[in-house]
Amino acid sequence: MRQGELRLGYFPNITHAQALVGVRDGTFSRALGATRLVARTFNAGPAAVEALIAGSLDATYVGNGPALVAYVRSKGAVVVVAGAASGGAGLFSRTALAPEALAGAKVASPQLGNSQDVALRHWLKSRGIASEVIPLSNPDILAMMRFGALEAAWVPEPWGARLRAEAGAHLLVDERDLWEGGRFPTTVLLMTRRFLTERRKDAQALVSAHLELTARSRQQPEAFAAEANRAYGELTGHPLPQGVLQEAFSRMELLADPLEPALIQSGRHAIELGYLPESELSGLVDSSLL
Amino acid sequence: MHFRWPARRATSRPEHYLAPARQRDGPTKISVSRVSHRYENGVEALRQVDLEIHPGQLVCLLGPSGCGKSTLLYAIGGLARPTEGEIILDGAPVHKPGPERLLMFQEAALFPWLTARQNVTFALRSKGLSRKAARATADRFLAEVKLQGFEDSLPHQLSGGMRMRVSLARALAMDPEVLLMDEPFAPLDAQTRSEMHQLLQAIWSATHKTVIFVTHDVREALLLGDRIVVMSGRPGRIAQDLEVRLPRPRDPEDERWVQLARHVQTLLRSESPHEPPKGNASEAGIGPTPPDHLGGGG
Amino acid sequence: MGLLLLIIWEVAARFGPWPELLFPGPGAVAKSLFEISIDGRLLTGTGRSLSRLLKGYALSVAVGIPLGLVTARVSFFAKAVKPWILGLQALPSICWLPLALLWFGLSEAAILFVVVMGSLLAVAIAAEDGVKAIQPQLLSAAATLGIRGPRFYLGVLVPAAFPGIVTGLKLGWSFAWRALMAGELLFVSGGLGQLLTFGRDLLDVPLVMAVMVAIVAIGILTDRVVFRGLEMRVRRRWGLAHSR
Repeated sequence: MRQGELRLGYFPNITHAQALVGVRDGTFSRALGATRLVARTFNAGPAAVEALIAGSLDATYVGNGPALVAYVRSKGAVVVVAGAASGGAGLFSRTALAPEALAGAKVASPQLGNSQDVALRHWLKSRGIASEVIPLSNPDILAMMRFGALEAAWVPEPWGARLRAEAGAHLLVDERDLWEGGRFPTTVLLMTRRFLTERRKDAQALVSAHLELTARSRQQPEAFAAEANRAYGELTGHPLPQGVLQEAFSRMELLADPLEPALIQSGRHAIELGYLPESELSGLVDSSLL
Repeated sequence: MHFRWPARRATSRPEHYLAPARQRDGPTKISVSRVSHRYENGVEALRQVDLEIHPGQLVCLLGPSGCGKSTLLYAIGGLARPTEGEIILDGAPVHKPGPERLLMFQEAALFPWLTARQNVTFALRSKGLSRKAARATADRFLAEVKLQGFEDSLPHQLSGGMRMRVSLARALAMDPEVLLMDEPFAPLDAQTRSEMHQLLQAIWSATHKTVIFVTHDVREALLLGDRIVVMSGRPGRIAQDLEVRLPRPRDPEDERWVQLARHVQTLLRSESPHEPPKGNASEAGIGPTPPDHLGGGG
Repeated sequence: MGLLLLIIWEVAARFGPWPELLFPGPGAVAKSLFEISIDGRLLTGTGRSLSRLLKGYALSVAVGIPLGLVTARVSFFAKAVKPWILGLQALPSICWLPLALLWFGLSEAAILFVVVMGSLLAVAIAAEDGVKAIQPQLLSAAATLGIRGPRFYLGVLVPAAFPGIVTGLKLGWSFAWRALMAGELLFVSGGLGQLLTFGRDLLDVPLVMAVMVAIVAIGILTDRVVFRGLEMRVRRRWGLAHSR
């Protein structure tokens, strides 16, 4: 923690749309006033939460899987202060038309212990389907699917839309169908408890900016998506094609609600899968800033 | 030792024991004609060398280091190809190594991972001998060079002299018609060397193989050779071709022998005026520099 | 000395400025090591890694040694192939992974390919150096004794080059081991590398360190037991070191 600075992590990923837009158009900086925003991008959850716990970040947008891992392992040194995205994930397969057809096949998830990995394994387990689960980065999943070396993958957007457009895959399971109300957390805003208590004003400013961005996205979804894509294109060099962008956003919802019951439910799944030791998850969310 | 030594004869005058080699009748074993060799770096090792060697002769090639004597030996062995001229063995030109010739080097050149016996049997087996026959032959020749009890020793467990004896046993066991020896005893101490000289003479007397023995040591040449071919260096040529008529076994203490050694030493000095011998005549070494070998070129 | 270091480590972990979560002490690591030993994950992972390693390594040796021998003996072949060998040797083996994934898919073959590319060339180069280091007298002796053909290659060339070849075997093994770990970290299921990734992804740092300890232990063990022994035997037999 450094006085006069807020160090924020996020991914060049459209499920981090508020961060993409807010960093680019200065919404965060304006809300923080004299406090300087230092934004850093990450490619994967573990690196981001490592940085958070090691004290190199004050807050980060991150998937709910790594957020849970960080909360449990740090014994509550980090908390979820807001939700960011819901939905936008699912199982895409190349040839299988029914879940049972995945028995014995190779199915990928983007990262061991991340939201999609937990969802995939929990889903396979509850249906009694024995597949070989391979953690593989999203670009590799796309290449392998195209190449036919992988049957299916549980991925976040825009990768699902890209798998459909570029690897001829189809949507086998929309994760929204598995949750009550069709809502489950995909991205959350995670903060160190120390920052939350000692720099309450800056924390509040960050969350206010987040709320403002979320509200904007709900009022003008298309303009917001286009803006997010511009930022995405600047960071990765390749903006998404219009069709892929629209499809990705169609399965996704930006919101500030941390969806606490679903978040805790998915934490229980991770514990059941042996990813985390048995722990109390009730302190995971602090919604006092919302 | 079961070789028989030839009887001793007494003669009166020293010059009588050393005479220019005469043209001999009968078949030629090895014929070297107009052989020249130039190394890639341009050094001329041999120039227009002619030499005829008859079956059963023990010929010493004597000369200072760098005179091309080893190059000539390697060419006869088929391990080096002269740039000009021809070498004929039993009527056929020599281009590569063959089973009728065997070269012994300055080092024992044993295969270090094989025991003394295995060194011999490995070579014999490549000639097609059965395992049993190879072992019997190996043990016989190792006994001949007095190495009973050391058959299962590895080369590094043996002394330099013993290693050279294994090498000799290996060479003899292969039973070549021609034995080519490149100063094989030079690195040995005086006593071992003298033992090896006796051994070689005895074996040669018993088998009468054709032997070409390269040395830079006058006394060694006079001790072993029927015939001494004196070479001069830069480029290597044949300077003198002498026949030794001393009876065997030759005794280095013999007055006649000592006189001969002085005589040859004088001859050599007149052949190579730029390279005077370092020792005196009775020391009889031509130079302490390491002997020339194949890749040397200098 | 070792104990002192352990104590310093434990104290630094407990009272140092770093969060204990990210820098656990030896006690936590030992506990984690014990846990993965008991629940079988260590054994399964080690088994899978070692079986991959042995397959890839065997292939490297089977191809690398003949390749090195031929390069050393056949000059036109050396001229054509040597620049490639030296050039590709400079490439860290993990750079082959993208290509391996495209060629072989997510299969064992892909990881074997990476392991082979990591160690084959080192074995070949060492075998070639081994041949180059042979005393010329030995080769001349073989020639004059009339030893030719397979008898020459297997009976003279390989054993004479063996001290160099052993160095290559050792080097090849450690390169193969590194290539395998890098490959397993990046994708393949099962194996120690993945157990390490598992620890990282789940922020289980004691597990990461426990797996590192296991990897180091396996490396040291094979070096001490297999290669040191082989080397000593060869050196003794070849007369390169004096036996006691």
